[in-house]
Amino acid sequence: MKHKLTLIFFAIATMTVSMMLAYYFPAIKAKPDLFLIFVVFIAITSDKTSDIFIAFSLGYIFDILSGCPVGLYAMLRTITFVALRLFNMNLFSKNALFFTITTFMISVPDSIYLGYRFNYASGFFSILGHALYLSFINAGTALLLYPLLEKLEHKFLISREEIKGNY
Amino acid sequence: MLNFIRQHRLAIISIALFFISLNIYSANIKSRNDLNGFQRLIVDITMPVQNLTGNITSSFYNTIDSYIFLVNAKNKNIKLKKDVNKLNARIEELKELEIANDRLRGLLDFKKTLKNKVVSAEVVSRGPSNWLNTIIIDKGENDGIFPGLAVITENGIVGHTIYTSNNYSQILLMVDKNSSVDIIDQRSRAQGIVKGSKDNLCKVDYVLSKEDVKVDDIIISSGLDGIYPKGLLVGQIQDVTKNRYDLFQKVTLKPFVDFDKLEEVLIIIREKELLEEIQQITENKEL
Repeated sequence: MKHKLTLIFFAIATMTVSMMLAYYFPAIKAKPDLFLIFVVFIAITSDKTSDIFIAFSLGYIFDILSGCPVGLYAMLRTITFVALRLFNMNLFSKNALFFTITTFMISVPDSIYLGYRFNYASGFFSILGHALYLSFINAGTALLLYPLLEKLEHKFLISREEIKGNY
Repeated sequence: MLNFIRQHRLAIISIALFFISLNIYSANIKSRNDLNGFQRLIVDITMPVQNLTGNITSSFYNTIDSYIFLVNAKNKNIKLKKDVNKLNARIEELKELEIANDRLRGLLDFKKTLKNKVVSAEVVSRGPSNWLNTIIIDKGENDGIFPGLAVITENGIVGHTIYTSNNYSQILLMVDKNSSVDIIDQRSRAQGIVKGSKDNLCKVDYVLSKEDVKVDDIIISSGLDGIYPKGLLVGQIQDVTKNRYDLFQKVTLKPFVDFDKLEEVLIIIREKELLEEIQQITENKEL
């Protein structure tokens, strides 16, 4: 329960920070997608299946607050979470480099799809360029945020039983 | 059976959530439906949190700006510095009030010139997406606002409402690539459609090559799109490129509204039934 409440709290905090970034820096058109970074983080660090609901809910709220067709981000974030959980079972280890690379790898197709969905008239290479640019911003932000997220994870997300289990 | 469900929990939940989101998305993909009760509740809950956080952050910054440099000052200078600071803050406050006063007076004067009923609103937030240019205002269905209404300032068109909750509305800005406004050139009466482009500029599509469109021409709304009433200011032509073999000209337009500095806006209220009727006719024409 504590794990869930903590995740919901951080989800609301992520949403608030995202909205404030948009409000205070309207001239910056390419802002880091904190929602995506958060979903990537919980997907590769948490082993609780029920966290998929957090990814879905975050996407759903993002849809409503951003003016996108409702269901778009909910679907994308659910797919992101599942894809990463499947890879996570076999491949990933927890460190900053993997987190950054994963964010970049997830961000590229995500941005290409969204670019195609909203700016298809711009042409493929323009969308690809913008998607890569956004992905670098997301990956950079993920790298910067990793120490903070890791601390939060150790402090709040790992339950007492899990710590006991580790020893 | 129970064991099977337990073993494949992730797959089952994923598939269920995927189909739920796909279903919601496909219901909204063609036309933006009104927000349902639950979605409105989300907006009405989250926006005050956002407002509160914004206010706390502003107060925090103001406090740091005003007092942080006084912490290490000598005791005899503290009182004087505080006084100077207070006076400066007061001057800044008065300046801000004066600017807001001018802005609101301009808006009020403009409001008087409009034939339609208008509601004024404050911009409380911006959409977090990198792909859509939206803002959120502090007026909603309780004030008679619904999707598809024109949003303007005294400088010209801002955009139109796309989603509304009880107390908040979301506006798709004119500079977004998914937005379009039917326009005419005020001088030559040439017609076209304004669409959002890069760097807060717009492009004007479907302007025939034979039409007389020049740099610095003023562009106004034609009223044909069923959202924006005729005669609203849109922007000024910045660049025109004609190719003798092309059917249409390439026209770039600079909007009169500064979209990065929006604080107050006006929403033109229309009869919902009338608007739906106009949109129905437009859709039938498109078909």
